[in-house]
Amino acid sequence: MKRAIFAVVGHPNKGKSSIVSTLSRNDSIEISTRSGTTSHSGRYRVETAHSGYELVDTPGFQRPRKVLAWLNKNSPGADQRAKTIAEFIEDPQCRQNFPDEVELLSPIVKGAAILYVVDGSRPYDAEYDAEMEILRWTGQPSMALINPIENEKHVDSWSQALAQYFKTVRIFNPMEADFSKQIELLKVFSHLNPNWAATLNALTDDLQQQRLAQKNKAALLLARLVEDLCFYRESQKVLTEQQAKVAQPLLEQKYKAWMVAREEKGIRELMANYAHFQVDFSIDDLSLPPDLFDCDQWYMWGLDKQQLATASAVAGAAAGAAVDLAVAGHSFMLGAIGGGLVGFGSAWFGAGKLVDVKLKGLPLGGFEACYGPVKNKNFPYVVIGRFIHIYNQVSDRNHAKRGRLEVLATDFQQKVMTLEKSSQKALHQACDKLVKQKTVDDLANILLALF
Amino acid sequence: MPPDKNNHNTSNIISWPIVAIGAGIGFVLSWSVLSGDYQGRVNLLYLLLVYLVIPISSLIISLVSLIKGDGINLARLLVALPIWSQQKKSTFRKFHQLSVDKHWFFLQSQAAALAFSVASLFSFFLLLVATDVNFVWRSTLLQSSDLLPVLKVIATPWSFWSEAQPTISLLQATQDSRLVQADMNAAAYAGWWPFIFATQLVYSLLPRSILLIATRGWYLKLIKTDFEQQLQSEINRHSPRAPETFEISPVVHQLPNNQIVVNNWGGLDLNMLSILDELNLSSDNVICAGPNASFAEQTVAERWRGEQLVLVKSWEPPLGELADFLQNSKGYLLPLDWEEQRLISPRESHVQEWQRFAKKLKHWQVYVPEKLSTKN
Repeated sequence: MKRAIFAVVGHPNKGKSSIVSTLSRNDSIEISTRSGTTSHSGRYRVETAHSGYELVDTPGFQRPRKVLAWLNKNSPGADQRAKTIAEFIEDPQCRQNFPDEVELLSPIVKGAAILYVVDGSRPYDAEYDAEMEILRWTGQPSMALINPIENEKHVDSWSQALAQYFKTVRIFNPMEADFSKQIELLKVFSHLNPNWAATLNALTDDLQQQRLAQKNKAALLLARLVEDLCFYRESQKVLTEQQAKVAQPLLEQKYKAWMVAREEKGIRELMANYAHFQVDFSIDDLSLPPDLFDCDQWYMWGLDKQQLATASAVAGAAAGAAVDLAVAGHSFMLGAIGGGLVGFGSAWFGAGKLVDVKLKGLPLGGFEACYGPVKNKNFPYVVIGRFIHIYNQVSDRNHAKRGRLEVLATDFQQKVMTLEKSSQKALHQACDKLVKQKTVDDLANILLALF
Repeated sequence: MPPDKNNHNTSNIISWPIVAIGAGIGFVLSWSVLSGDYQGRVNLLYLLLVYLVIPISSLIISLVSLIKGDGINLARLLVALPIWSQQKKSTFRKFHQLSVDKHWFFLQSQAAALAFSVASLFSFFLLLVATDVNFVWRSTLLQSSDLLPVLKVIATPWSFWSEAQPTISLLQATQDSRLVQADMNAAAYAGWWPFIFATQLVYSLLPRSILLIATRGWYLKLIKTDFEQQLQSEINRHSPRAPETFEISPVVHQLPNNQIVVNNWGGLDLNMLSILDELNLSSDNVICAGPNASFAEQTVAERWRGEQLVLVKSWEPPLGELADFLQNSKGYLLPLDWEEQRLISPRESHVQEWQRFAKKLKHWQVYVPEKLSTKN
C-alpha cells in the first residue's frame, strides 16, 4: 500500500503544529503562541498495526506575495506551473531569499497532499490569497481546515473564501476534536487521493482497534494499581516492644508515601498509555481529596455509607450462598442471609477504620511493627473512582493541549449504580476480596465495565 | 516511582530456597537408594525409578502445567506452604499480576529438578568413591531377555558410549535372587555405573539445563515486554520539555510627537482610530504598504526614511515581508485589535509576539496607547 503524506501548511501561528500534534498523537511537537516556532519541516509518522501515514509540519508562509511574483515572472504558462514551483525550490537565490516557502513547498513537490490551515476566529483577508494561489499552482490534492482557535465567528466567511481554492473545506479544532472527529477527518483524507484510500481506511480501522486496546490496558493498569494499594503493608523488625512503638510513626509515613507514589505512577502510566508524556501533572495539584487517607472525604470518590453497606451485603451474601451450595441447600439459605448481614454490618460499623496497625512478637524473638494493609471497605472504590476520573480526562485529551491536567469530578457513585447488576455484583465481590487481601482473578475485566 | 520493595526484578529469577529443597530431596533420595542393603546391593530397577521415571514424569507434569490451566507443579505446591515471608508472598502476587507466574513457577521447577539431578549425581559419585556399590536386579516375572530391549531403548541416546550400553551378559551376571547364592564377580556388579550415570545425565541433567536456560530467556522476555514495563520505558525516554524563554522589547505608551507618519500596513479602516487623539490621520500623513497596498503605494512607503507608526493587526504574527520592509526604516509598531469596528485592547500574548519581533529589529519599538493598554 502506498503511504499517504500530508503537508500541513498555512500562515504562521494558525495551529499547524497543533493539528499535527493531535492527529499524530504526539505531545512532544513544539507548539507555541510565538510565531515561527517551526523553522524547518518536521516529519511525523503515524504507524499502526497494518497501515500508517505521515504528517509534515511546515514553517508558515513569510513572503507569499514576493514568491507569487517570482512564480508569475518565471512561469511560461498554466501547464508549467507545477514545474515552476519545482524550479523555485531548486533555485539557490530563492532558497536564500525565501527559506520558509522553499521548506514548506518541498514536501508538496515531492508528492505530499496539502492541508491548508486558517484561523476561523479571525476575519478572512485578501492577504491570504497569495498563499492559496501558490498552493493551487502545485497541482497537488488539497483540503482546507478551518481551525476556530478562539471562536467560530468568521468560519462562514472563511468557508466561502477557501471554497474558491479548495474542493474540500472542514472545520477542525485540534484542541477539542474528539476521537470520532479525528477519525472522520482521516476518512475525508482518504478521498483526496484515490491511491491512498486503502491505506487510510486500514489506518482508521487500526486506530479504532488501538483505542479499544488502550481502554483494556487502562483497565489492567487500574487492576494492578488497586491490588497493589490494597495489599501493601510496611513493616519493621525490632528488638523490643518499645522500639516497635517508636517505629510506628515512621512506618505510617513510609506507608503513605509509598501509596501516594504508587498512585502517581499508575496515573503517569495511564497518561503514557495514551501517549501523553509532557503533561504537567502532580498528584497534589489534582482536584482530588487532599490525600488518599482522608476518610471524611472518601465518600466524594468511593461509595456513600449506604451504598457501601449494600455492596458489602451483596458480597457477603454471595460468599454465604457458596456455603449454601456446598451443603446442597440444607442450610435453608442461612449462609446467604447471614453473609449478607455480616457484610452489611461490618461495612456500616467499620467504615471509619482505615488501616491495620499491628505489633506482634516474633517466634525467634524480637517484635515486628506493621502498618497496613488498608482494611476500610471503601478504599478500593476510592482508588477506582479517582482513577476513573483521571481516565476520563486523559483518554479524551488531545495531544495539542499543553496546559496542566485538570481533573473534574464526575459522579462515580452514579456510574457504579448504573452498571448492570451482574457487573455491580462482580465489582462488589472483587472489592470485598481486595480489602481481605485476596487476589481477584480477572480483576481487569471486572473493572472494564466502568471504563 | 514508589520505592517498590514489592517489585520484581531479575534477582528474583531463581528462588534459592526452592533450589535448596530440590537439591536436598535429590541428595537424600539418591543416597537412600544407593546405600542398598547390608551387602551394598542396589536394585537397578529402583534406581531407574529415581534416575529415570521421576525426572521424566516430573518433566511431563511441569510441561503440562505450563501449557494448560494454572499449572500445578512442585514449585507452586511449595509456594502454597505457609513458610514464605510477606515480601516473598508479595513477589508471588506480582508475578500473578504480570501473568508470568506460570512461567516463573516452571522456571523454579527446572531449577529445583536440576538441583535434584546435581545432588543425585553428587551422592552417586560420593558413594561410588567411598563404598562398593553393587548394582543388581531382581524380578519374579522378568528375564534378562525381557529387560534388555527396554534398557537398549533407554541407552539409545548414548549409543556411541559402548561401556554404558546394557548387554545380555551383564544382565545375566547381575541378576540377583535373595535365596540363591550370588556369583561373586564384583566387577560385573559395578559394571552398571556408566549406564546409570548416562541415564541421569541424558534424562535429567541435560533436558533440565536446556529448559532452565530457555525458560529463563523466555521469562525475562515476558517481563521486558510487559506493557507496563514498556510504558515505563516510554516515560523514561521522554524528557520533559524545557520552558520557553525569549527576549522582548519594552512597550512604549507615548509617541515622540503626533506628527509621526502613519503606515497602514494592516489595511485597517482608519475611522476606527479616531479615538486615538495622539495620531494625525490626515490623508497627507498616512502612507500604505503591506499585503493590501498597491504597487504605487508600496513604492512611496518604501522611499520614506523618517520615523513612522506602522499599524498592524495584533493577532496576525509578523511575517518576513514586514521584517524586510522595516529593515531600512525606523519607528513604532502599533498592534491593533477590534470588535464590531471598535478598537479593543490587544491580547497580551499578541503584544508579546510583537515585542519579541521588535527586539530583533534595530530601530523599532512597540507602541500601545494608554487607552488600549491591557494594563488598564
